[in-house]
Order: sequence, then C-alpha cells, then structure tokens
Amino acid sequence: MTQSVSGRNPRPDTLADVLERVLDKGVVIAGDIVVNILDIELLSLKLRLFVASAQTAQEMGMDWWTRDEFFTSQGSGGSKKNGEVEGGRAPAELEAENNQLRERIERLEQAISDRELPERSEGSNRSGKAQQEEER
Amino acid sequence: MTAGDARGLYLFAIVGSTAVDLSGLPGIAGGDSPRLVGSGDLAAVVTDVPLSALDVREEEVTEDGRLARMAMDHDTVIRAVFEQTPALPLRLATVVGDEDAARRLLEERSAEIRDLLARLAGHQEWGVRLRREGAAPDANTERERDRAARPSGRDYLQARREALRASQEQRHAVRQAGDEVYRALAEHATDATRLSGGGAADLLLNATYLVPIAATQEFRDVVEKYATDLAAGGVQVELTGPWPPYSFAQVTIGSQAAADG
Repeated sequence: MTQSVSGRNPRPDTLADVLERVLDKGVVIAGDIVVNILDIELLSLKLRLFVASAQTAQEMGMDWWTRDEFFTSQGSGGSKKNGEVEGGRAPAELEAENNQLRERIERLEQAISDRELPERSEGSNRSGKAQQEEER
Repeated sequence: MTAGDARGLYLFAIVGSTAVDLSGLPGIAGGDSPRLVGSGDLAAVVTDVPLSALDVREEEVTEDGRLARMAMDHDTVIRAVFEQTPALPLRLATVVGDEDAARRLLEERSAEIRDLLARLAGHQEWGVRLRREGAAPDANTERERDRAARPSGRDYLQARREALRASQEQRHAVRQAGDEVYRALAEHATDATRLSGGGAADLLLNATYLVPIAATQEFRDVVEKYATDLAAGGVQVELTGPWPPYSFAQVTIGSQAAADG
C-alpha cells in the first residue's frame, strides 16, 4: 500500500507537524474498557507550548498561549525559555498591535491624500495632520 | 493516581488484517515492540506499558520530554502499520487493561470499526499550508525609499495612495486565494477539513485532505499548480504527507459504556 509518489518529495515532517496531527486526533474509545490514566488533553495542550521554538509553533498556528496572560506575563522579562520571542513580548500581541497601527496610519494617510491639500505645500506631516484635524 | 507497578496495554491502531509486520518498531516509553491482538479478521496493534510511564508530570511536558517522545513513537508505529494496511489511528495514550479487554473491544465494536475502516480504506491524508512570505514588504520598502528621497508632500501622498491601493488589493487577493485553494483541492479529495490557523497572521490556509491513493498524483499536480501560480504573489505552498488519516478518524467508538461483558 505504500504509494511512492513520483516527483519531489514533500518536505520532511517536523515534530511540530507530527504533533499537529497526533495530538487530540484519532479514534476515541469510550466506555469502561479504556483505562483512564492521564489527562492527555490538558498535557498535550501544554506540550504545544514547548514545541520547538515559539517561532515554529507560531508557524504552525499554535500560538494561542501568546494571548494567555499566564504565559505572557512570564515572557515580559525576556525569559531564556522563550528566547525566540522577540523582546519578550508575545509576537501575536505585537503583530496585532502593529496591524492595528498600520491600518490606522493607512486610514489617516488615505484621508489626507484624498483631500490632496496641494497648496499646503511641504511643511511637516505633523502640521498637515494637525491642520486637518482643525478643519473638522 | 495509579499503582507503581500496574501494567496496561497501549493501543496504537486497529487494523482489518492479522498479517502486519511490526518488527523493529518502537514500543511506548522504551517498552517492547508492538504486537497484534486479534479477534476474527480485526486486530489491535498493542504494546505493554507500565501505567506509571504514562503518568506524565507537568514539568516533563517539553519538546523532547516523555509526552513528545510518546507522540513520535505513536506516529512511527501507526505510520508503519498504515503503510501495510488500512488502519484506524487511536487517540494518543489509549490504554486498556489487558488482551482480553482489547479483544472484547474488537468484538463489541466490530461493526463500527469495519465501517470506519471501509470509509478510510484506500486513502491517505495530505496537509496543505499557504503561507505569505514576508507580509507586505512592498509598503514598507516604499515607505523607506520615500523617506530617503524626501519627496514633496504631494508626491509622497500620491505614492502612498498607490501603495495603499496595491497593498489592499493584494491583501484581499491573498485572503481569497486561501479559500479558493481550499475549495479547489477539496474537489480532488474525499474529505477536507481546516486545521486551526491559530492567530498566525501569515498563515492563509492550514487544511488537510483525505485523498484517494489512486488520485494522489492528480491532487499533487493541483497543489503544484497553485504553488507555481501563487509564488509570484509571495505565497508559499507547503505540502506534508502522506499521513495516516488522523484528522479524519476523529470519532468516538462505543458511546454507550461497553461494560456488559
């Protein structure tokens, strides 16, 4: 049944790839037959936290914890464990903030450029914006 | 929790064949190689495990810790089995008391098991991710260049407006590309599902497909086509697989307690 597919092989599976497939998936057997040993769901969630670097995990979209206060509060000190989290702040948080700011700037710039403001030559961008505020 | 020396039977997968070569495969937690426990034409791929080995403590939950190794061993065995015969992957850390319990499971749930095996037979799972490379670098470089050249305010605004429109169009197109690719590939698959994208801003699509083995080449050709088409727009297509049908075996067997044995 092994199907060798011609052409290039897909990239080799990483630990993160495997975990994405294995954790919380597969047939569950209900009933008394199964021995309940550990809260695998909970542990597997926690494992995601440690999977490879925060970078890899983020690539996998497994970055839910970056929005979790419990984890992010530890990160603010720039702890060794999360060494790859830039600046110690949750990347997703920064990303979201960046996006918000970027969109705000874009909206502002759009508003300004729509009005053209040709005669108000040069000056600094600051004053342009300020004057526009006054006009409202 | 569990007594120190108590042992159980770890279940990797259920197969519809009693002829599966398991030699050389890892057990769980460094235990014995897996073996088959059969009942009729169904069999469970199992290994003995001390229950204490599965008693993972929180501080052991690390990248190379016990749980991670268990996940890798689990996958290694299931993959090897799956390459030989259709297999139902069981949830990580599924343990029954002993061989009798395993046989009882196979007998009592044989109808459900057969149905599932039949549905998944002749299929493999393939994962497809679409990732945007270096999100919107154009707008930024543009901004830098503008700043360096110190253009007039008017030129600046004009350039910015164009860049804005371009980046908006690009963002829109890119979002649509994810949906389009998902649907287009689904047409070449028996089943499809989207995996969690989490909050990753550059991940446009994280999907997985149940593909008939006979249609593998066709599926991969379509993936290849999109990879080529989207590369120009800075979107990278990643393909993983073939996988055992983990994502399409998310089923609970025996919803009412099977305790009447």
